Amino acid sequence: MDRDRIGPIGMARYCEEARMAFIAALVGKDRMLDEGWKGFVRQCTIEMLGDVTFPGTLTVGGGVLRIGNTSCAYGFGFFLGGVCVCLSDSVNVWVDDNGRPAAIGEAVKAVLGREMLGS
Amino acid sequence: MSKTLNRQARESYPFHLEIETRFTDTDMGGHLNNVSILLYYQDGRVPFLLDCLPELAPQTGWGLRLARCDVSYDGQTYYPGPIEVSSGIEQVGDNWIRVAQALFQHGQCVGQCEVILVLAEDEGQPAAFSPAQRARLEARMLGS
Repeated sequence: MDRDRIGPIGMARYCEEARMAFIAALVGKDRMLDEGWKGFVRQCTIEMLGDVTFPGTLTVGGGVLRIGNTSCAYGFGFFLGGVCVCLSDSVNVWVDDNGRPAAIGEAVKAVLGREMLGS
Repeated sequence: MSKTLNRQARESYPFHLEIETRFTDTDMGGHLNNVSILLYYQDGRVPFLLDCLPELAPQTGWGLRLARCDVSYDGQTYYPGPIEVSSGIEQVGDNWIRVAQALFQHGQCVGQCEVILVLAEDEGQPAAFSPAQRARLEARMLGS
């Protein structure tokens, strides 16, 4: 936090929480760390559009931007008082037990495909 | 991004800082967590910017605000052991700068980060870098 504002680094934590909550909502907390959902963050962009002030309550909306063979991009928007104050995109890569990129299973793709942004 | 510079090469950056990794930043697998890695970039960026613009030190009312952060994770980063954060100026605007950084461990580039920082307004008035400040920033460009 910078004085009474939360910057992109602080927002990165909210982005991660949002992504995990999104996945938990899709498959349930008991399955979100299953093999079919094993992945790493490969890339992340956080753009501040306004001040995220403390104290306050953020509302987040999100969905899937793209689904590839081994990766999926998520997009989230954070709102404060109805105004979008931060956008975040991230790419997660699915990996095998050796940490190498692995194909996303068809069942997982189907679940993600129902959550495309704008749908 | 620069098309001619190798952003994964240590020698492309004018400023380097070695930092010991912290156990508290690890995930379940002994890697540094992706969010925690942003703090290492910040740990490397602040001394670099203080070196360029000491008059904007936090005690004097730190005048740079982070507006955008773009980070890529190109390899795993492990605890324990040091990492090195390399930094350079990529672009200087009237009232903003783009800083490029890379993270190295065991001689390998394991990630890159690019941030845009905006000079804070002074009592509602748009701020701009002075010619002297621009000169100091431009002396720390990538590849210099």
